[in-house]
Amino acid sequence: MSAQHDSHPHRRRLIRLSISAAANGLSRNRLATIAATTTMTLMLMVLASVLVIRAGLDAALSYADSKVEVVAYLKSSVTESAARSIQVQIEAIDGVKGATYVSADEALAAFKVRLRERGEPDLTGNLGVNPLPASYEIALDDPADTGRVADGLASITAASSFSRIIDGRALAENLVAITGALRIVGLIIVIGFSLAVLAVVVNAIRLAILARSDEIAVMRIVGASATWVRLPFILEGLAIGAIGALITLFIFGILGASIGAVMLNLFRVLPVQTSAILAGQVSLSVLAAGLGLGALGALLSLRGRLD
Amino acid sequence: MSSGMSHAETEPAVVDLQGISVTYPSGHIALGDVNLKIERGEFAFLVGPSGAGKSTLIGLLVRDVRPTAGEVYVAGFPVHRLSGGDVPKLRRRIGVIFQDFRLLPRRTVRENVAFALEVTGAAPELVATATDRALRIVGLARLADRYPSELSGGEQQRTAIARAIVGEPELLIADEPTGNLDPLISWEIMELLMDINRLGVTVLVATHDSDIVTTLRRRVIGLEGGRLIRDEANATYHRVG
Repeated sequence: MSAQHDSHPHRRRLIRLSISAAANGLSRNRLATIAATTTMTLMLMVLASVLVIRAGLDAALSYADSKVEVVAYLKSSVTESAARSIQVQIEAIDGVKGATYVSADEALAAFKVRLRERGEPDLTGNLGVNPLPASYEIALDDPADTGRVADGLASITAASSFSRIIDGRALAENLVAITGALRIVGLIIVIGFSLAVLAVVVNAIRLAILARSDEIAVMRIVGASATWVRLPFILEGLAIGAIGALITLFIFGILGASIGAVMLNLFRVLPVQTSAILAGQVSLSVLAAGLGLGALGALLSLRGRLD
Repeated sequence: MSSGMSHAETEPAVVDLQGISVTYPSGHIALGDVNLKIERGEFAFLVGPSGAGKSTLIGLLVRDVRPTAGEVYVAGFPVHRLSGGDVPKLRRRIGVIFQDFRLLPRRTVRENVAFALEVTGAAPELVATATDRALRIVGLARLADRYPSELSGGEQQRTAIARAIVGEPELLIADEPTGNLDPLISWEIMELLMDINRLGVTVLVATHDSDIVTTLRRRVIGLEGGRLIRDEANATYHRVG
């Protein structure tokens, strides 16, 4: 009976008895178990959605950030030779580091590449003409100078050749603001749901404790250690979290393809190759959140009760 | 064998209360300056009216209640300064039975008895042999596969006694063990407790049953108003003279 000789089988017996007690507890309080697992699943689905949307926004943000800071689109009436002559004027503007001419053909070629990357069908062949305008992509000495450079573009003599000037920095800044706001909103929603989940899990485990109170009383008087008394309830919490996480991942797995499509529609720019990494990250987060909330709920309901 | 006096010098008492007081936050004094020794192998009755402090004293022995002053030693454990992690070790050396038996209704007699050892992590072979032994001692081997609801009150209390002794405790505490039983069955239970005492287990019985106490003429420890008012060998329920 010495502890050293006994410790391995001892742990095995502890785990075996705890698992059977936990399974008993979960099936005996079926209603509370279902309520807790359902709430857990809902919360984890919200969490997964927030993570996916955030990843989409981040991708859009980094895409916008990687683009040239200012783009000046040329009117279709401007001939290529006329367009090329503007370059000198543009590069003379204070704050401009350099300007790259992108012809309409190059723009179309780049668009086709992007369609291929996203796995979307290339329908541009059906178009008789190239609808994309030629443009100058303008790099700046100081990326924060977009406003001044955009103003400079509007005041040069060739300004009438431009159909549209896009201030890339402003776009990025808008995206940063939107992402930041959504991040906070997402965090608040996830925290709110987590608290609700905790309350429901705590309630389920308390019911389980109540249902087994006679057994717990006997365990205490015969000298069962705290681990033996508590472990079944912690396992119940973990089981609620694990089941919720598996249901969530199952549903997201089924919906995976359509979620990808929605994301592409929403953000246009989510690179396809990140989706496997994203799926891994979301799965891990959902599993960790489920197990963590389950265990935390169990610990909270046990606190001060079984000493 | 019943007094264990010959070992008093070498062996520590199974129960040793030194200057024990228990005062509740309300100011109520549940026990006041109690000194008490119960030697190994003794059989003692704990008597007194309701509210005298019997339950508090039992609570002290199993560390359900903590003293506000004094020292408690049980089965060699310094109970008054025992850490939470060591409380289960103390309780494994003590068996307790109650007036209301406290059996688990969904488990058979054998499972109820075995449960007490299983949850301390004992090996299955040990649980099986110790359970059989305890059931034999209390005379329930035949009924081992019955559920508590299929048993008489006396048989239920025997099951509770088997559960209390399955871990071979040094001390058996019986808190009103016959309170729910008719007189004939009560005597059977007392006989059983004395049998267990003869096996070397120290037995402390808290009771209101004056017939049993007076007839058996054992050591009687009397509490009243939280004070130890008498401690006599071979005594009757009511103090003589």
